[in-house]
Amino acid sequence: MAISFAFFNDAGLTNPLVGNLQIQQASDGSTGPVDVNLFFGSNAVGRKVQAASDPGIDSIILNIEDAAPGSGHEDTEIKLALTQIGLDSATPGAPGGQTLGTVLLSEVGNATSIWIRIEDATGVIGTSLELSIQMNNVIEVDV
Amino acid sequence: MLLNGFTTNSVPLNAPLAVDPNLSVGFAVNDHGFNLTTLNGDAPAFAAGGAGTFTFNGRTLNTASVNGSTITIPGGTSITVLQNLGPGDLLYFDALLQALVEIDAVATQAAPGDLIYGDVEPDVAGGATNYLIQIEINVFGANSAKPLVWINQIIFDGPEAPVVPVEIEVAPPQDAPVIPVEVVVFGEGAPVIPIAINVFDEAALVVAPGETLRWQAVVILDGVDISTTLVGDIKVEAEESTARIADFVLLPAVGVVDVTDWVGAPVTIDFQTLDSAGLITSSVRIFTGVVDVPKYDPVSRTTEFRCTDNLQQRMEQTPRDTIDTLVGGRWSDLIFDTEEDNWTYTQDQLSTVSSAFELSPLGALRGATPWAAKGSPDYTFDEDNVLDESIDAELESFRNIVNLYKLNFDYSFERLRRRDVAFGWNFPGDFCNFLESRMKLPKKQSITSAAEGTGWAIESLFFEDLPPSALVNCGGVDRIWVNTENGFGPLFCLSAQGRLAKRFGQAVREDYTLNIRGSASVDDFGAVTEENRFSVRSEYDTGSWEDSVNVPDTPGLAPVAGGTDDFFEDRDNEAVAGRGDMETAMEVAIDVGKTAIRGAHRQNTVSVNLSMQPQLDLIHTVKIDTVPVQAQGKVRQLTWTMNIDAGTAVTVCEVAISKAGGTPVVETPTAPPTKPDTVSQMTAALRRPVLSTRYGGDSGNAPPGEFTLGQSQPIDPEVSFPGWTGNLDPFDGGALLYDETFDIDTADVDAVDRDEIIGDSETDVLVNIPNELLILTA
Repeated sequence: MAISFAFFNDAGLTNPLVGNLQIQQASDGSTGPVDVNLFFGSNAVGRKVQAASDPGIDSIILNIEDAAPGSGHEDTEIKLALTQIGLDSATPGAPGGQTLGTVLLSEVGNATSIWIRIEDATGVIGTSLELSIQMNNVIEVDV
Repeated sequence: MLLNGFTTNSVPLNAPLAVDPNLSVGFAVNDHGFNLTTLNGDAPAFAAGGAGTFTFNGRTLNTASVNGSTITIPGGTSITVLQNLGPGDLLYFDALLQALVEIDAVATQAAPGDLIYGDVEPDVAGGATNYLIQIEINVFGANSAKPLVWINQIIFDGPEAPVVPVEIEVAPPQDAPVIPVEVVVFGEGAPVIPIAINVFDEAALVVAPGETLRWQAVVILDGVDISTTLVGDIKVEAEESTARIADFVLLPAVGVVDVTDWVGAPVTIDFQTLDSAGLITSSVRIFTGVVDVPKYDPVSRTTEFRCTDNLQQRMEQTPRDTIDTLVGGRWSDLIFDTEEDNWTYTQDQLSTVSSAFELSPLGALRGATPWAAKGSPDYTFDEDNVLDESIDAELESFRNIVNLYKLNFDYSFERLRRRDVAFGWNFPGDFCNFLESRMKLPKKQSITSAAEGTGWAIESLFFEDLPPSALVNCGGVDRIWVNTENGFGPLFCLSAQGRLAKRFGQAVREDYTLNIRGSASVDDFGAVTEENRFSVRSEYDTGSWEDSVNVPDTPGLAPVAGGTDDFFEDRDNEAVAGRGDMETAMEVAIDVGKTAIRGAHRQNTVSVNLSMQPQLDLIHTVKIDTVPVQAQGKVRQLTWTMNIDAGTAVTVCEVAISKAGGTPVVETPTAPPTKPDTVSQMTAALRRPVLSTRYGGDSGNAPPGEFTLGQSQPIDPEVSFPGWTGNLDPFDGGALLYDETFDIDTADVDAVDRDEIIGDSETDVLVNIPNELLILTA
């Protein structure tokens, strides 16, 4: 059974992220970094998610995954932070992952804001799907 | 047999108990009760059928049965612990022998039904005939940390009348409670954000003269590619600080059309360039949003779609702290309406910054873009890019060029004031004068009442009492002074000194005038003024201050300069509209003025039609570099029109140009101006009411003047007389007498001390207006 928690485009949790998070960049680098604000949450009532590895103890973490390390786009083209200002000082590639906490609650108002900064470093024309942002395994239970 | 803690209705032994070294007493436990048994059947022996009712702690147990050597107590409700025992519980038996009998066995782990027994031996040393068997049973529950304890005593009263008492103590059950917790896991997963990075080739978007751009528009409606079913124009409009709009026309498949199914459906529009082989060379997203209004035309059998990127709804659902970060403006609940939604909050914030705010073409939130053009343009378009005769320049109307924003801002608060009045009265002469005259003294109570009657609070009041009886030498003559007040307390006084205080409030208003001035523009065009007024009041009710009688306890009051008896405190630190709140509000109002001036000066627009430029965005600075027009500014509006039927794709780009003449100025930082002086407007003076003395009952002087040491006063009861009005004692026959009274005149608080104080402040705030490139050549 899938969890009700998901990524949304808005803090009101009305506009879920469907499909890919799309970023477009001019090949000459003129576009510059693009910041995207997503929200992780659930409209279910009275639920929470915790890391499946040790619920309530282990952290819920976002990691940047590169399906083809060493070629194409690298994870260092992405920064993660909980605030837009935090992106400025975030480490490219988010080594160690971006921690969201040990327990995340459902319902609007508890959504976790996530900021993503992406800047193409390849200049290679085309659409690449090799990068993704992956959360560790979580379980959803009643609060 | 007696059970300690139990009583039984006479169940006697039927025979003397023989001292039998082999006597054993057994104790069996079953699931519902226990049996007390002598194992060899010799003794003690009980009358058969001697059933009885046992009570324990006032509760009646089930009927016990006695049969031969066995007493059975069925499991009654009172022996709840036994009833609680269940399969798997462990029972540990331990027997203690006291007095004359020993029971050897025990300390073994037993199951229900097991017996424990031992030998009974006489008390040889004592030679007595009483025997006591005490059995302690420790019952360990499976989860028990401590045992449950029964102590059973069997007392043999001797051969003649042996009694077997049994004491049972039921200790409170102890356990380690466990709360079983059921956790329902609704699901498990590892959410992922797949990322598609589209790197497009800007060069592919440039059409060389004489060449034709090969392109296609990809429109995805509710997850379905409808590109091939579109007709007419696909149009996307993006304008500063508004929602991005898209329109297209769909020719649906034949059949029933339910346009309501599409309301709110997600829509994306990508513009793609193709090479001669039809392969995609570049793909750029120009719209991400939802269907706002679908409209079916039954004549053409087409459906027109109006789509929006839903900016307003997105902002309504965005937390205010995020909006603060994205827009970067100021906000105050004293300037804006707190009840409004977050979209209005966004607009409020935007009104304080010279920036525009909208979603990205991908529908993502992004920070506001400054109005000011970048130093280097992101894109430059010249004659090669600008379609023929499409360039247009529209300059702003003079009357719209607000360059002086007059901000009237007043701040009101209450000033708490306290005024003190010191007074003193002395008998007009020394003590000998008092002894040698008929002049009466005022009572202390009269002076106290007079002080209270002023309506002012008494801060302090001291009296000089009459001295004790003594022989007083007055000018060489000894006079006998007998104080008749002995035993009655000091009623009269020779002098009194006091201090009264009055609390009152005074309204204060600080009137600020801020001339927010775009100086360079004013120099060029003269002042075009817009005014705005804000009033802020610090809420404080002076009633409690004025009504309080605890005047001396007024810490924090500052003395009014120039006076010694006036003090004040400004209540401009209230929770509602304290000075800090007011200053924040003033900063917001100043920024609103600055933004209004800068906004009024960027209404110049240069518009050009370009070949399709899907990569253009409202964040870009564009330079138009043509012969008739040279301009550089931030993109204000973009319209992309792709005609599927004609195969044309055009971008209309409008660039906002800020213009201000004169000399650039250094902008005044946004900060509240210095507050005006309202303190020095307070009046203050030393107030010491003069208290005199006059006496009636004097016929020798009219106006009488019984004494010459003080001032004589006319006898006119209607005239107010501050001080002591008394009579001679004894008075002259036929002389007028006063109603003896003591009066203190504190005078009223003048209107000037209560009326509102107004302090004025006028400040110039300079605004730097960008003067961007705009050259028109005839």
